Amino acid sequence: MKFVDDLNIRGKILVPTISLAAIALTVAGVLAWALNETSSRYRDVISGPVLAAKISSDYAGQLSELGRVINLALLQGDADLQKLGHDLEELKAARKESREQLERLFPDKPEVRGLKASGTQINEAQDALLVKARGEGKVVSVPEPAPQPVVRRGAARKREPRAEAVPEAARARAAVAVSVPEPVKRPSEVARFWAESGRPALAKQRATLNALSDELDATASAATQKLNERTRLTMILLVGISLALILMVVVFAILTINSSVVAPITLLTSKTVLLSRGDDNFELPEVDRKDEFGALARALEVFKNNADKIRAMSVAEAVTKEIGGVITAAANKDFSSEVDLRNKEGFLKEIGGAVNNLLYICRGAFKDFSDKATQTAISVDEAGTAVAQISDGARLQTTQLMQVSTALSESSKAIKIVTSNASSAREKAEAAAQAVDQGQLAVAQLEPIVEAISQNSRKINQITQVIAQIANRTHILSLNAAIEAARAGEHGKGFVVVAQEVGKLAESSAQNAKQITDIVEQASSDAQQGKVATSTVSQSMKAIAQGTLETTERVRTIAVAMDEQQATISEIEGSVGHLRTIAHSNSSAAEEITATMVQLSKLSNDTRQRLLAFKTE
Amino acid sequence: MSARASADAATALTDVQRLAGVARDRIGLKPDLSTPKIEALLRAIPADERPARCRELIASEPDASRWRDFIEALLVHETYFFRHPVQLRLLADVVLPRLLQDRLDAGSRELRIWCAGCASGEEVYTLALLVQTALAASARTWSVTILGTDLSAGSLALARAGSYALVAGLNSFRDVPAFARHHFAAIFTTAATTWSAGPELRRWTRFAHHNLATDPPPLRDVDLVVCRNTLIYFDDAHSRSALTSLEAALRPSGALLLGPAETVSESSGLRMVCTEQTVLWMKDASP
Repeated sequence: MKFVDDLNIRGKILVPTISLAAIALTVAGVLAWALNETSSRYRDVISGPVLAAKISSDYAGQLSELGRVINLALLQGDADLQKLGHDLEELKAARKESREQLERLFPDKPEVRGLKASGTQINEAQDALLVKARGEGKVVSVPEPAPQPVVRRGAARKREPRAEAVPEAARARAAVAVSVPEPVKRPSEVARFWAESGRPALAKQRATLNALSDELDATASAATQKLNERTRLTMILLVGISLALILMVVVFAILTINSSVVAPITLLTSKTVLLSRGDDNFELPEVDRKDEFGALARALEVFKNNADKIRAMSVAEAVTKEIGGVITAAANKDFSSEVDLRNKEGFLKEIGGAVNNLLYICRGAFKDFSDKATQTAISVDEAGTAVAQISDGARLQTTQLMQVSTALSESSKAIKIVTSNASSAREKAEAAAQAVDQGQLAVAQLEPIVEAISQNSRKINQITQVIAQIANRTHILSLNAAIEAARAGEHGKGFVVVAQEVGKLAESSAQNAKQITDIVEQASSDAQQGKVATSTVSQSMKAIAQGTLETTERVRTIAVAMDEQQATISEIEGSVGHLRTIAHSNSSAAEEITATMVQLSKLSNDTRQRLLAFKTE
Repeated sequence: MSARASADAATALTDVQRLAGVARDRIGLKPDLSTPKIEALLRAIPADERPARCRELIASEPDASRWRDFIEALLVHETYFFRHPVQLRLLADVVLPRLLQDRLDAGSRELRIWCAGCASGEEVYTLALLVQTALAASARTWSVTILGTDLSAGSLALARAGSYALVAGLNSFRDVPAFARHHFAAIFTTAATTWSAGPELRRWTRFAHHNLATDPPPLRDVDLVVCRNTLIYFDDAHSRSALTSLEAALRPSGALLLGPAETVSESSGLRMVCTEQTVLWMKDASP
C-alpha cells in the first residue's frame, strides 16, 4: 500500500479506473476470441455430418427418382423405357458419385461399404431391365406403392431445393398414380424382373441411406449440443472471472480511496478544525506523505507551529469586534463606553488601552470643547452685554457731548453777555462813582432846600387853611343860591345847577385843602426825615464812592478774565466737536461689535449644542 | 402716582416693542439690537409725547420722511477701507483671478460685483481698487460693474460723493493694511486730509437704494457678492431670506464674502472655502 499512498489523488482515482477499463477490454477480447473459436469448432464439428447427411439424402433422392422413373415407365409401356435409357445412365453416374463421396467420408463404415454391393446390384438390375425392355419392347407396369421420399427435418433443411423438388413431384405423381385405376394389363416379364431383382436392392440401399442419414443427424445434433454447452460454460466462466475482477478492482479502489483519500481528508479536516479553534494538541504524521495530503499536512504544520498565533487571532477577532463596537459607539457620538482591559493581554490590551486612551482624550476634549464653548458663549454673551453697555454709554456720551457742546455754546454766549455786561457795569460803576460825587454835592445843596421846604410847608399850611375857610363860605353861598333859585321857580332852574356845582367845587376845594395840608404836613415831616437821611446819604455816598472805586477795579478784572474765558471756551467747543465725531464713530463701532458679539454668541451656542450631542458620560 | 408711572412705563415698553417689531418686519432688524436704540431715541423727547410718537411711526408709510429719519437713526454705518484684510487678501490672491478666468473661459469680459449693505461706500471702492489691481493693464478691455446697495439715503449720498476725510477718531483709513497703503499714499505720506475716488473707480461703481431684507436681488449673474457685517443685524428669518437673495444673485461658481460672525445655512448650495484665518463661500458650479 505504500506506493498507493505515494500516488497523488489523481493517480489514486486513475489507477482503479484504468484497471477497470483494462479488465473490460481484456474480457471483451477474450469473449470475442472464444466466440470465434467456438464458431470455427462448430464449423469443424458440424460440417462433416451435415455434408454426409446431405449426400445421403441426395443419394436417397436419386434412388427414389430411379424407382419412380422405372415404375412410371413400366406403367406407361415398353416404348418409353427405351427413351429412359439416357436418364437412367445419368442417375447411375450420380449415384456412383454420391456413393464415392460417402466412401471417402466414411471409409471404415460397414454400411457404406455395403452400399457398393447393393449399388452394383441395382445397376445390374437397371441394365438388365433396359436390355429386357429392348427385347420385348414393352413394359408392363406393376402396381407398386409410390416410393416414400426421405424427409427428415434436420437433413431436409440442408438439402438443395432442386433435390427436394424431386420427391415433391414424385409424391404428386404418386397421388395421381394412386388415383389411377388398377392396370388391367398383365405384368410383363420386365416388370417381374424389376420386382424381383431391382426393387429389393433399391429398398435395401434406401434403408441403409436413411439409417445413415439419421445417424449423421444424431451425431451433428450431439456435436451442436456439446458445443453449445461448451460455449455457455466459456461465457459463464468469462463473465464470472470479469465480474470477480471488477469487484476486486472496485473493492480495491474503494478501499484505496477510503484509506488514502477519504481517511486523510477526514483526519486532516478534523485537525484543521481543531487548529482553527487554536487547539494544536495533535500529531501530524501525514507530513511524510508524498501526495497532496503530505503537502496539505506540511502547510497545516506551519499553522500548527503558529497555533498560538491562531489562538491569539481568534481571541483577537473577538476583542477586535469589542473594540470595533466601542469605536462604532464613538462614531455614533457615544464616547462613554470603554474596552474592558481586564480579560485581555498582549498587544490587544495595548490596542484596547490605546482606544480607551483615545476615548479618554476625546471625552476630555469634547468636554473641554463643550465647556469652552459654553464659556465662550457665556463670555461672548457677557462681552456682548458689556459692549452693548459701552455702546449705550457711547450713545449716551454722544448725546451728552452734544448737550455739553450746546451748553458750552450757551456758556460762550452767556460769557459774551457777561463780558459785555461787565464792561457796561464798569462803565456804569464809573458813572455811578461820578454820580455819587455829584450826589454828595447835591446832598450838600439839598440840606438848605430841605430847610426851605420845611419853612415853605408851614406857609402852605396857612394858605390851605385860608383856602378851606373860603371853600366853607362858598359852600354856604351855594346853599343860599340854591334856595333862592328854587324860589325863582321855572326861571331859576339853570341857576340851581350852577349853585350845586359851586357847592361841589367848594366841597372839593375844602377837601383839596385838607389833602394839601396833609401832604404838606407829610412833606414837612419828610423833609425833616430827609434832612436826617440826607446826612446819612451823604455819609453813605462817601462809602459808596469808595466801594464803587473798588467795584470798578473788580469789574475790569472780570472783563479781562471773561475775554480769556471766551477764548478757552471756543477752543473747548472745537474739541467737543471732534469728541462728538469720535464718540459717534465709537458708538457705530461698538454697535457693530455688539451685533457681532450677539451673532458670535449664537454661533458659539450652536457649536455647543452640536458638541452636547456627543455623549461623554 | 407711582402706579400711574409704572403703567406709563408699561405702555411705553409695549410701544417700543411694537416699533421694534415693525422695524424687524420692514428692514429685518433684530429687536434685541433695535430696542435699546429706540428707547434712547424716545428718551430724548418728553415722556408724555412718546406714546404718540411711537404710534405715528408705526402708522407711517415706509417711504415717509418720518420713518426714514427713524430708521436712519437705527442703522449702523460702520465701515472703513480694506476692512477684514485677511479675507480681502484671499479674494485678491485666489478668488478674483479665478472669477476673471471663468469669465474669459466663457468668452466674456464682464465682471459683476454686488456689495450689499455698503453704508458710506468704502467697501465698494475697496473692491474697485482690488479689481483695478487684478486687471492691471487689461482694465480698459473689461466691463466692470460694482453695485453698492444700502437702505440709508444719507450713507448712499456719502458713497456717491466718493470723497473721504481723514477725521479724528475711527475714520475711514483707520486700519488700511500694508499691502493697500499705496492706494492712499496722499493721505499717509502727505498733508492731504481727503481722498477721492478716481475716474475709473467712479465709472465702475454704482449705488442704489435696496432693502436686503425684503427686496429681490438688484443684479443677476453676479461673480462676487460681498455682504459683510450686515446680516448680524438681521433676525433669523430675514437673515435666511437675505442669504437666499444673495445666493440667487450669484452666477454658478460665483463667490460670496460674509462677515466673520456670519455663516450660510447648511442647506444652501454654497461651499465653504476655508483658510487658517478666514472663510468665504463659493456657489456650486452646476446651475
